[in-house]
Amino acid sequence: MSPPVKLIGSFFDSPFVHRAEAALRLKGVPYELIQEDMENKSELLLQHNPIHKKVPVLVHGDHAVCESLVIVEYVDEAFDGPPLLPSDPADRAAARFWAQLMDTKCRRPLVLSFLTEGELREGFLRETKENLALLEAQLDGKRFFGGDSVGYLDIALSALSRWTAVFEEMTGVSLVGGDDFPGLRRWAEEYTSNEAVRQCLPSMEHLKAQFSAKKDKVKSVAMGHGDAAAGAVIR
Amino acid sequence: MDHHLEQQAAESEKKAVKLLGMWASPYVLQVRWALAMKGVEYEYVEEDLRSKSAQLLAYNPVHKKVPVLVYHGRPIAESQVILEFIDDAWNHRGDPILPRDPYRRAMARFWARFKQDKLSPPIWRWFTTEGEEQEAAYEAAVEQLLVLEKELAVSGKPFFGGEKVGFVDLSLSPLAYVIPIYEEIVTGGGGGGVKMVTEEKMPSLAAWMGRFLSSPAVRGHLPPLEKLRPRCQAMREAFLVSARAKVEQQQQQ
Repeated sequence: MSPPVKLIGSFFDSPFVHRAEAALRLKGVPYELIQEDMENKSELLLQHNPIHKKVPVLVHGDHAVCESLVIVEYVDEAFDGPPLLPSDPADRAAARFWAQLMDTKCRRPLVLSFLTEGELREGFLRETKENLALLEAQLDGKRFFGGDSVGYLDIALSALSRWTAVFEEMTGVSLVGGDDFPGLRRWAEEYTSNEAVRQCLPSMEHLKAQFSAKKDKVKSVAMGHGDAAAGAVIR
Repeated sequence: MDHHLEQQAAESEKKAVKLLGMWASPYVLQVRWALAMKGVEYEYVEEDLRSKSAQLLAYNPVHKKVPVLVYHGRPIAESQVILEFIDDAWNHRGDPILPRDPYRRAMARFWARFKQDKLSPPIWRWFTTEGEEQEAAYEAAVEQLLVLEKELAVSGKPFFGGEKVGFVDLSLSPLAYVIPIYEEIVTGGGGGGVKMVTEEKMPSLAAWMGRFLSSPAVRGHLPPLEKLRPRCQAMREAFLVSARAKVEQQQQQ
């Protein structure tokens, strides 16, 4: 029998932690969620992720797995259940490519679109829309990026659903929720209404409260350090 | 399979697999080593990155970079994604590139990202700066290298992949042949640069470097170092000149 699974997350509803939870729920793996106060990191977190000291961390028996997308693949491979990655090697490569793109290219301008104003914001919005156009094309009218069911790439892109919707509501900017990307808009609705996903998705109200509280602190960090900061922003 | 059929299979494979690359790119090299590990025949296309081909732009419109592996007309980009693809597509052939065990696979992916996110940036900064900035970058790079050193020492294995070269070794490969070049250039320039990987400080890593370079898939498949050295030197000089010009500009304002 498989040893118990613990997931170390945080009180802040991070889309990275969500990725790990979504994978566990879609796979049907029971787990205990431990919420960290990131201002006051526990021994447990420091012991299991000494290098990065970040969440999420999946603890499965003796094994600690860090990095959200690495966790998603681990969950897919270590447990039985519906596959999260496609079976065809080239399709798997495409899913990994676009997931990587989200983290290396899309995240920063998306976050900065909401944290900045004026001309700076216009620039980041333009860049974000270019990225969304690529993803819209990749979705190609399918229900999910994975096809008929939620898969690895849908999970990887989950920040484009609830988190982006909250950003859009708070700032009045229109991205996924607007008319420019009908495929993505429908995808976001499908993703957030999925039975397994819903159970680990923070509510709009909850996220709004968190973003308001964090906004100023986060803005200075994001502007100062670009990628690392934009990542730190939502962790 | 008789010789004739074998030949046919190899030729047909060569038509199915194409690699767009550039001789100096360590990312391209990793892919070439992975293909060699699996014994895959392929067509190699050398790209001039200052004048990118229509083919490259069509196959990798998002990044416009090499390597791009084209498999039966389908392009695959980003070196780590390509390495995993090679392992998946030729799963039945040669040695595994990633471990089979899910936890060990997760660790392999973790270390490959570590190299990209934590190790490469300070090494690059060390190579392209001088003075205090360079010293700080050096310290940061050494700190991360020591993490790797510990990992390898604790495992007691010859390679990060275990008994044989694997995904992490391939991802770390620039360390094995580029760092010595960087060390030579930085020290030679009178910048007071010290060696980054020494046998005293990092015995496991130092041994790994030599072992990696003499492993079957890698041996004989290195870029021409006599061409690489001046190229790296020119890069460092270009960065230094640009940084000095900026400082001058700021002082004049």
